[in-house]
This record gives sequence, structure tokens and C-alpha cells, in this order.
Amino acid sequence: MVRRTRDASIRRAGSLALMPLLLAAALAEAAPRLESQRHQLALWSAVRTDDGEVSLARLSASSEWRWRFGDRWQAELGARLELADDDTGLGTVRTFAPASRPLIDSEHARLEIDAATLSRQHAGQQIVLGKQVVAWGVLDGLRVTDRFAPVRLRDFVLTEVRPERISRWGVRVRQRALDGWFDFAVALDDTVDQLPNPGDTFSPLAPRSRAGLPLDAVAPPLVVADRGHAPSDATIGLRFSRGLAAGSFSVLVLDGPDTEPRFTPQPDGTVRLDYPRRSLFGATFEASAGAFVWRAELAHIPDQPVNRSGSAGLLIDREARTLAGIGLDWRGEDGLFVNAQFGIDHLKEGASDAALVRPQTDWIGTVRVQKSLLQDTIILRAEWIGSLADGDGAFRPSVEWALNDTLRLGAGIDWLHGQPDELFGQFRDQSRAWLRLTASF
Amino acid sequence: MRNGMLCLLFLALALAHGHVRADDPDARALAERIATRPSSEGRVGIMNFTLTNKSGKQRERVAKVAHADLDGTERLLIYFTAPAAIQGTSFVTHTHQQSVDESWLYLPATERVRRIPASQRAEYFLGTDLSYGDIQDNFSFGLDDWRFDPLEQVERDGRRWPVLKGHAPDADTARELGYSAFTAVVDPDTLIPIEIEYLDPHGDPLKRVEVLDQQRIEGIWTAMQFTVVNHLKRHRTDVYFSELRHVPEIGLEVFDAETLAFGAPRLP
Repeated sequence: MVRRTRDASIRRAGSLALMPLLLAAALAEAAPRLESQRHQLALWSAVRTDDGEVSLARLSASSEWRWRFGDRWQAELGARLELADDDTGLGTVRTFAPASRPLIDSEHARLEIDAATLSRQHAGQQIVLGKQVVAWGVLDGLRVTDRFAPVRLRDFVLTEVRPERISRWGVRVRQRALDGWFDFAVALDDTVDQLPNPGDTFSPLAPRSRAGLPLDAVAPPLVVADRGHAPSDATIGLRFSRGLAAGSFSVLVLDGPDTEPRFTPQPDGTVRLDYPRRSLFGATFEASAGAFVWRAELAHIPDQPVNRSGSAGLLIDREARTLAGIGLDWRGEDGLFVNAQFGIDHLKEGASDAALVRPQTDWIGTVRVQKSLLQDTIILRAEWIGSLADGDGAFRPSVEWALNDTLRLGAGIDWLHGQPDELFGQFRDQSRAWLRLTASF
Repeated sequence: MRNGMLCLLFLALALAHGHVRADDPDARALAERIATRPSSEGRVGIMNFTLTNKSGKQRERVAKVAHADLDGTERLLIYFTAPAAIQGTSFVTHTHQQSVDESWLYLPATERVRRIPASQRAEYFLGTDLSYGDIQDNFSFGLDDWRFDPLEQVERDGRRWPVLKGHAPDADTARELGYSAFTAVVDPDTLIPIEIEYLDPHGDPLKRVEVLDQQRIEGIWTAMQFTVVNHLKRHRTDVYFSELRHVPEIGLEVFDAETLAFGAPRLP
């Protein structure tokens, strides 16, 4: 089921070859000084509300260190160990480039490098080399232009912070010019979105998420197209941003492997998840007006890889895709915060007689209400995210209590509703009550 | 004649209700001197917070701070280094003389810099008793925000110190500021208000700010230690600066909002 890739260790060594040289350059400038370090332990568990079964039990231990070499150079290293004993699972790593795969990978334990960067900053220029996240876009969790970095989908959208981006090996250069910033990024590593493993809690069920496969049909074996085709599968992006009156705007273009899979039937009866290249052209705008901050994003993908289902079976195609979203923040008195967003994801119908396996247009809305009490000691949150066309969604009330400067305790409910063939409704049996204890030191 | 009498009567009633209270020229002049007192072209240091709740439980916060007053814009960066739970959280504000102020907040978990509303002045700053407006105003009183009452004086150390009083011109401004009125005892030598009592938008006592230590940093008077007591929440924030130094050549990229997402600021 798992296709063997080329020797991962050779690729990993190749990707890392540049780092020691640059590290030597930084060391030549000044001796390293540990500037900061942070460690975090998080225990997250949940029980299904339907049957009371434990559906999540995950322990994460993460650390990050930052060193400074003189005034210009800085190095960062971040690593995360995850232990899981649950059906939610740690997600597939077959979608990761060999250079980005976990250093330890077993059924219940995984050690990943989250960050390994060397950066230089001087006179309006910044260069970052290594494993890093590039987060573009201005909306929260609605991915309109935020499509440079792949994300983790093992927990669907029910994470503490959404999206959970995955770092990749690459280079990023920011240069101040024309009263703004040019931001150029290359991810040499072709890691794409992390998926849940088959059979996991959030393994997709709806036809729209399984290339049109009917609800109760058994999925054929899936294989993932080889990862690790750097530099031909590199993602390249350029963004320009600058202030504008009481706001700011950006325009961007990126080209690289799609982070979402396209399903390709194979002669041997398997289905391969492919990630063909596509280009994205986008713009963002953000401005404050009184108690509000307005955000808007627009993206166009002229060559979006898609699946169609017709009399000849599953077909592969490309169509124009347009995404747009608007959002606003409103801050009221006494720590009340409201965020509301609305997004559209539209695929051009095209000339083909075969139908798209996903709806031609998705209408997504999110509303988050947050209230902090006792000087941020207690934070109450309620969020709804869902499809405005179908009415399915997830309602997520939660409370977080800072017991002290080290310990935080969170509890909440993720209530999923809708029909089994809908984006959120497919997981309606996975509604859960959860508890999270976090220690930071 | 009858119309004139009616106007006078209306004006008298309005004054009696405090709706139309003229600005006192001497008070405004003092407020202007406070607002334009010499400010540093650039300085950096460490800001230490101790938060004490009503049961005496304390929490500590430590932040790097950088400030620059250049080209008609006052820029401030606060980057939290401790405790670990909020390490990397950063706040940047640009107070423009000619246009609307701008503020951004960076929370490391989100990997994104968020613009925050210009009118968020009344909100408490990251669990402290300081509001975002207090942080921006830096011991001065916005000349467009307040109407100033006639000056009073108080005897201190054998000298007469001015007492500046102000009130918000309307309910909307009071809500935005978080205060309806203030009374401040101003050090005549440094022009730093060393005791400020604020009333909340409903006119009730809200908090008291007291400057405990002032020092001259490269010729600029600076409040090095102060305390804020919130009467309503029975919460207290003690703040002191350490390692504060004058850095006139501080680069403006330190205060660039988008740079917040790239780790600790590289302060000279």
C-alpha cells in the first residue's frame, strides 16, 4: 500500500547540506548566545458524545530554542514529540517529502522537526533558510490565499488553532522596497496536506471527499504519488505588501504542487493521490475602522486539478477556481471579541459532461465569540464553522482557564451536525467532549 | 429679545448639566506641554510587570520594549519574553500625528500578525490593568480626546504642583477611552503626571496610576516605575523598566508589523 520512495536519508542530507555552511558563516560573525527557549507539554483527550468511547488521547511535548549570533544572525530549532493512543491518529506521513518526514515514526509515537532555520536580518532585508512555515493571507482559518504552506487535516478543522500549518525546507527572502515588502519564498520540499489514515476518526466518508465514491462503498487501496521531487516540485511564491491609509494590502502569486489531492485511478485497481502543479494569483486587504477590522481576500487558480465522475468512471481534469472571503473583527467592552467570516470557493463548470465530484460552489461561514474574564485568566469561546448552502457545520463552545503562569486547562465540546454526504455532516458521529491540559515552561 | 432670552436659558441649563463645558486655556496649555514634552528618538529596555489579583495571587510578565519618536509618528514595540506561555507575543503601535493610529498584535500560535481596531483603546492590555490607550498615551492626555477643566494646585514638598483635570466630551468618547474623567497631579519639573485618578464611563472611580520613580535617560525624563490599581476589579499591576537606554539610531524595521512574525526583535 505504501509506495517506497527514494532513499530518504540521502535526500535529507542533501537538503541540509547548505545549513552547516551558513551556520559557519554566522559563527564567524559572533559566538552563539541562547536567546530564548520554550517547552510545552499538552495532554488532549476526548470522548465521543454518542457512545462515551475515548476518541482522542494525545500527548505532545514540544521545545524550541533560539540563538543569536551578533546583531544580524539568528538560529531557531523546534521539535515536537507526539504520543497517541487513539483512533484519531497522528495522520499520514506518506504526503510528506522524505526530508520532512518524522525522525521517529511509529504507530503511536512521532518526533518531528517543526523549525530549523538560520536567518539574517539587516537594513530592510531578511533571509530565512531552513525548515519554516510561510503563512500568507489575512483571514482566520479560511484558506483563500493562504495556500503556500500545507496543513494538517488529521483532526479535520477541530484544532486549537486553525489551520495547523506544516513547515517545509526552503528559502525565504524579504526585501523592503517601494514603501512595502517583497516576500519571496521557495519551498524545495514538496510536502502536501497531511491526511488522516484510513479508518481514523476523521477519515473522509462523504462522496465529495472521496472522489465521488458512494457513502457505503469500500474505498479502493490508496497510494500517494512519490514525494521528494525537489527541485522540480518546489513551491515558489512572491508577495508584495504595503500600508494603505488605515490598512494594508498585498498581491501575491505562487506556483507549486496543489496541497489537496486529485484522485487518479490506476490500472492495478488502486487509486493514486496526485498533487499536480497549479498557479494561484491573489490579493488581500485589511483595514481598521472604529471598533472593526475588515479583511478581504481573493484568489484565482486558472488551472485547478479536479476530479469528475462520468459514465467512463473517475476522470481527471483542470478547471478555473476562484476563492473569495471577507471577515471582520469587532471588539466590544470588557474583553468581548467577535469574529465573523464568509467565504466562497467556486469551480468553473467547464465543458465536460462528467460532473464534478465536489459541489461547484462551497459557501463557508465562521462566527467566533470570545470573552475574557478576570484579566485574561478565564477565556470563554464559542465558534460555529459550517456550510451556508447545506447547513451542516461544527459548533464548538469551550472554556480555558489559566491556573497559573505555567498551567492552562481547557474544556469544550465539538458538536458536528449535518447529513453524512456533507462536508461537516460526514463526521456527525464524531461529536465529542474534550479536555486539554497544557504546561508551558 | 425673547429668542435671546431662550438661548441664554438653554445655555445655562446645558452648562448646569455639564453638556457644554468650555476648555480651560491654561489647563489645555499644560496638557499640550505634557503631550509635547521631550521624547526620545529611540530607546530600548526591559519592561517588567507584576499582576496581583484581589486574593493576592501574583503573575509576572517580562517584555522587551522599544520606543521611537520620529517623523511625526511615535512607534512602540512590546515583545513578551516570559512567562513561556506568552513568549513571543508582541504588540506594535504607531501613533500618527496626522492620521489614524495603527496597532498590531502577534500571537505565535497563529503564526499571523493581526491588525487590531484603532478604537480598542479601552481594552485591557494582555491581562494587565493598563489599557491599550494607556500604553499608547505614555503618561499624556490626548488633546483631541479631552476637555480640560480649570487648573488647581496642590502643595507638595513645599511647592505648588498643578492638578490637571479633564473630562470626555461625550459618552462615545468616554466609551472609547474607557474613562469619563481624570484628575492628575503633574510634576512641574518633568511634566510627568505622577498621580492619575480615572473615572469609568459611568463616572465611578476606576483606577489610580502612581509613578514611583522618574529618571533622566539621556536628558529625557522617563517614568521608570509605576503602579496601576484597578478599584473595580481590585487588581493591581506594578511596572518597572530595567536596562533602559537611549538608542537614537534604532531602525524603523524594529517597529514593522509584519516583522513581528520573524522572532524576537533584533534590538541594538
